[in-house]
Amino acid sequence: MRQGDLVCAKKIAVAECYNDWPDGLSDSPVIGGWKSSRDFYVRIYAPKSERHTAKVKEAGKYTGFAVNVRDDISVNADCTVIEGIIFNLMDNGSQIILGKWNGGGRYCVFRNNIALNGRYRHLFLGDYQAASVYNNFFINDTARSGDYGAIDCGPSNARFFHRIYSNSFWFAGDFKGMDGHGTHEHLEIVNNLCYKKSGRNPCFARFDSAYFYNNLSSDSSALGSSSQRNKTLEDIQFASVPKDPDLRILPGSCAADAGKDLSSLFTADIGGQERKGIWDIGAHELSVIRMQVTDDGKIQQ
Amino acid sequence: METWPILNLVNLYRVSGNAEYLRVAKNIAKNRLLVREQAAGGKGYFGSGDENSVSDASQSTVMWMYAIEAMISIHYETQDPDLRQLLIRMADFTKDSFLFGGAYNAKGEYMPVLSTWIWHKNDPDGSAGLAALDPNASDFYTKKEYYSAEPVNTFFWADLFAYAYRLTDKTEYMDWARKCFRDSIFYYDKEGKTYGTDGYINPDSRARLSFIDGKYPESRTKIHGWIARTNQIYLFTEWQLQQGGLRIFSSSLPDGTEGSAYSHALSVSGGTAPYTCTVISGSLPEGLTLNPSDAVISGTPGETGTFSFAVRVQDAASASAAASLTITVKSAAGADEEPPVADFTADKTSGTAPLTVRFTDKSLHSPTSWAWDFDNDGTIDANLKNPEHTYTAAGTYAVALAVTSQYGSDQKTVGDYIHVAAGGGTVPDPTLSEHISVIRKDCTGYANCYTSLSAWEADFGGIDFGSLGCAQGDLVCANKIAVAECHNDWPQGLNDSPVIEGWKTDAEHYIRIYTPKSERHKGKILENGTYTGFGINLSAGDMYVKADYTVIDGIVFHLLDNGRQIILGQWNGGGRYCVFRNNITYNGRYRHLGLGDYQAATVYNNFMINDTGRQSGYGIIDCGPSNAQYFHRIYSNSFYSAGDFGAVDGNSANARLEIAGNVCLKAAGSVPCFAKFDAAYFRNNISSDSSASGSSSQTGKSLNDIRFVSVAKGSADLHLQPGSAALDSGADLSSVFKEDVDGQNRTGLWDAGADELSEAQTGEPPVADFTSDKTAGEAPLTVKFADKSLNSPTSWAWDFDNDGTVDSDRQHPEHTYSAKGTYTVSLTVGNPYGNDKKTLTGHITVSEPGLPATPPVADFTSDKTGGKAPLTVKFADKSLNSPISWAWDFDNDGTVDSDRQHPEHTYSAKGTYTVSLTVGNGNGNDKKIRENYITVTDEESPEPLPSEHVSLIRKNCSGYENCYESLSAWQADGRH
Repeated sequence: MRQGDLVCAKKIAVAECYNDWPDGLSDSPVIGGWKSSRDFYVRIYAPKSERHTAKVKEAGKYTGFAVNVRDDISVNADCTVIEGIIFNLMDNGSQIILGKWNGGGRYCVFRNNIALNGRYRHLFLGDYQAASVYNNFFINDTARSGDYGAIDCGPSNARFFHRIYSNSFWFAGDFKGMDGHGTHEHLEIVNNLCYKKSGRNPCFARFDSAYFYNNLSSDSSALGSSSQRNKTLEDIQFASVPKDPDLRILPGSCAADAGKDLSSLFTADIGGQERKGIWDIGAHELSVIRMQVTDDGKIQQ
Repeated sequence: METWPILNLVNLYRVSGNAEYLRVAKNIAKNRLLVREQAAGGKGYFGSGDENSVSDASQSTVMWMYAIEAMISIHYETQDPDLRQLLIRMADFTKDSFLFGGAYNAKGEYMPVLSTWIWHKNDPDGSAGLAALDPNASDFYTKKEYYSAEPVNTFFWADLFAYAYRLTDKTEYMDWARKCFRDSIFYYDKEGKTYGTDGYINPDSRARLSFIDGKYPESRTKIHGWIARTNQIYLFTEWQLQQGGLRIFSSSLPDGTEGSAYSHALSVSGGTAPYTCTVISGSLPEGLTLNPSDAVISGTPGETGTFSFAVRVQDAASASAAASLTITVKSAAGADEEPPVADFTADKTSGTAPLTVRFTDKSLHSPTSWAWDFDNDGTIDANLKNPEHTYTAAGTYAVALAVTSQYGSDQKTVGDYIHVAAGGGTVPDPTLSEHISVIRKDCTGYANCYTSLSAWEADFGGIDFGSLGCAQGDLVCANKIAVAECHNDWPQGLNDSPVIEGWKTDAEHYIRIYTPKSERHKGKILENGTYTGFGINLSAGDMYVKADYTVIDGIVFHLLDNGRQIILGQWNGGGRYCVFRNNITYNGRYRHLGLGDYQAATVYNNFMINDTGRQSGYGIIDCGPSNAQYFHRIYSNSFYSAGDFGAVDGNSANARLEIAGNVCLKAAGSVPCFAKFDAAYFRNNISSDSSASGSSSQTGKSLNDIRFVSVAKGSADLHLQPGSAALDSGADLSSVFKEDVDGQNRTGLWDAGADELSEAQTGEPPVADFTSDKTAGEAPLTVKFADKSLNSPTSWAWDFDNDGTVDSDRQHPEHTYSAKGTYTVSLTVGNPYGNDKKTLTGHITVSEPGLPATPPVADFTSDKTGGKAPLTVKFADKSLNSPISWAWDFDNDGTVDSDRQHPEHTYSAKGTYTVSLTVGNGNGNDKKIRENYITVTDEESPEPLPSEHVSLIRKNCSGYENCYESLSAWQADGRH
């Protein structure tokens, strides 16, 4: 049996990551050399007990398993799932590359992660690699300007389109949210929330308007069905920015109940909480607790 | 060559002080010399008097020797760096290749240093030519002249070497200058002959000094002319050498620091003090000045960067010398230790393609390296500090610059920075006022109609430019696009050979010769002996296109195997940026298309066919020289040769010739499909031989691989068939064009060649299926059948009673059953890729009138009830009592999803689905509901299988199995 042949071995190779590095594991893995499929794939994830709390740090320590990325992380194995990890891109030019045209890494899934402080981009989706990216926070608390996009999409088409769902972006500078590039046929962008403090780089650039809906931007770029534009922090109501960024939303946010129901694809939010009712835009689903006063005057949920 | 007029302009400047004379002289010299030198290979030589002779096998050196004096004078006055480099290159080429002699033979005879009269490419030093001559042949002296020439000409070379010495300080140049002087003066013998048959002369018999050119003793006028000329040369060169005594030795000055005092004295020697120094070109850094009297540069620099300028020093005797100097000013101490801050500008931010933009680095804190990305595609395009880039495609481009120094790095990206409008005629603007003329065989009743393209051209399209106050043919002034719309009225082809010239055009006002789609070829040349669309037999000669931006679109050109060809553009003759697309060219003898030198032609989506056995090494497309500024673009063409005919030849100067997405099939021979191309711009091509050697290209492909529809003589058709190696193998050129030769939009991955096989053509045979509006009833029972077959069938054969006889060939037929019985129905469908048959046994039940009525009982099953999305489920009707209608609801949302008896449904989303079926038979209805019948799981989130292999990533793995202390270590050992 060939080394790394998960299909032949009928295995799922799981790297279960534990939050033993309060200052982050300094690492830059390159996932390659595997033979994988939709049923037999590589899964790198942090179990919920070891996972971030949706905040990057508390008291100066990472809230969950985190990797300080020294160099690019390249994922060249098809169907790899990366889940629940904090990636600190260190403002050093490193990035996470999902797939490479003719180089492996198609159908990868990147979900429930936090990607912090990219210099040029955070995620680079390989040409025609049909990546799925959902329920992530993308944060730059530097004032860095960048027009590659936190998610920089390789060409996408109707057969191998990327899917960018329910992510939240916040940038302290002029950093583009995502860029679909010149060839973006059937690139799906739904339920994403992007706030950037300043500058001319758009939140959403070069997308297929037929597959762009229920997105929200702080500038005028979220041009699409059921989308919202020119929203302020007061409108969006992140739990905390710029200090200790926490992109969960608070009650009253304009993102609440403004998303599209994607439950046929996934049902939870970045924290693993089931999304109920009308979906919110972004990676976090606001948990609505309904209080009522009972006949005897007590308040209960 | 305007050599002496240029020299006159320089002298006019010298005597008048009017700088305009000098500016004009410099521009003429540079425009003429540098371009021609580049055309000849960029190695320090250029053609003689005929501008096109740069590519000839042999050239007279005389004409460009005449240019030397003018060039030296212009450079002396302007210190132009380009002319400086050209002069040095010329000196190097001359001393290395042209000069021979300067030696004594065994008899003590001397061979002078001289230059050949004619320079032969393959015999640069003339030695082979001389040795091959027969001294006894009657034409010996005639031929010898080609190799021996006149040593007097070395006066010119002496001039060049003397100046090269001044420019470089290399004493080797001065040595050559003196040799040339010596041998020019001391070469004539007493008898007025040149020298012996072996090239040597007797030193005892030579004249000691003569300015008389003994070659022309019969012409006193010529003699006097040469006396005067050689004196000019001699004296000028002598003066140059004297000037060499006055020198500025400082070429590179000490670095300065921003904000700190700076002082440096230029080192001047020779000549007669006192000196006067002036800056004659460029400028000093802000804050620094040059003291004219003591040659000291001093002050406090106020800006950082590297500054180039030229200084002239003049001595008391009015001798002068000049030097090019540079000063680098660095940031102030401390600031230098800061990381750089990226910044840049461009000399322009918009224009028409091809648009050349010069970028200037404006970064702070002294970066030491630069990485430019001119189109923000993540690829580094240049590492120069101040690069230049040519945008060839329309679009809006972001530009990024990343700079680094030992203290850090920084990047600046400017989005939507460069705006490039379509140019080159590739995207004509239809909103301009067009002038449409029609080309028809019979113009009766038509306005602006011509019976040949030649007639149209001769009449300048019939536009009354005079009424517009514009010259005839001036489309720019008239604000017109001149259109010749060609109609397919000549079944045997229009005999014509138009020459398109005399127009004034630009990117927006151009000539368009095209065939509308209704009149256009069908991808084939001939059918039943007649052209399939508008065709021209080039019967009278070559077709020339000498108007810039001309577009030729959708025409069959029959080149008649008689040497006819289509020539797009001519160097300095017009025809730049022409577009040749969607045409078929047929049976050239030497070539089909000749692309003029530096004419930047765009050739795409053409079928180019030779079904003769003709051999040619010129190439169906024979490219003139191409360079980064004026490169040709050869995209998505299909070539077929039944003989040994090459497809594209880039020839020797092929810098940035773009060849992408072409297919070449050649039946025989050693002439390559693709010859002499720029490998950096060669991609996604296919060849039947080994020549398509490049990125994403394929070689060694046979007809069986490429699968042209037909290569039959007289009816070749280079459309692709399913299974072709060209499918999805082309280059995506959608920034340049989006359709194929048929006008069909290219989608998905592009096919190589001119034809894009549509998905409907990709070779799927049909899948037969049908339904009927009823399946049971009393006789006579009329049933409407509906074809539901997949993959676009083109033929239908119905057998309503399974008796083997085709009852109907309609797609959706109707049939009346008159007799009681149970009938099996079959449908056979076909398309170009195959056939399929579907038979429904006992599909129609015909009862006798008046039987008791019974409502149906609904029931159904499926082939599966769960799985991952997308999940396709086949449902089977199991209802009783012969229902004749079915209404399926696959997700219980109240909507009928299918009315077929045995449908199929694909669930694309995760979930649990309730399915219902309602059936009817004319006597009643019944409904069957199966709750939560189908369960679909998430395709993106495959649940871990029992056979998982879990590793742990922990900081301390002590006590854990399968534990790693980093993801990299897990991966490295992974795949375990």
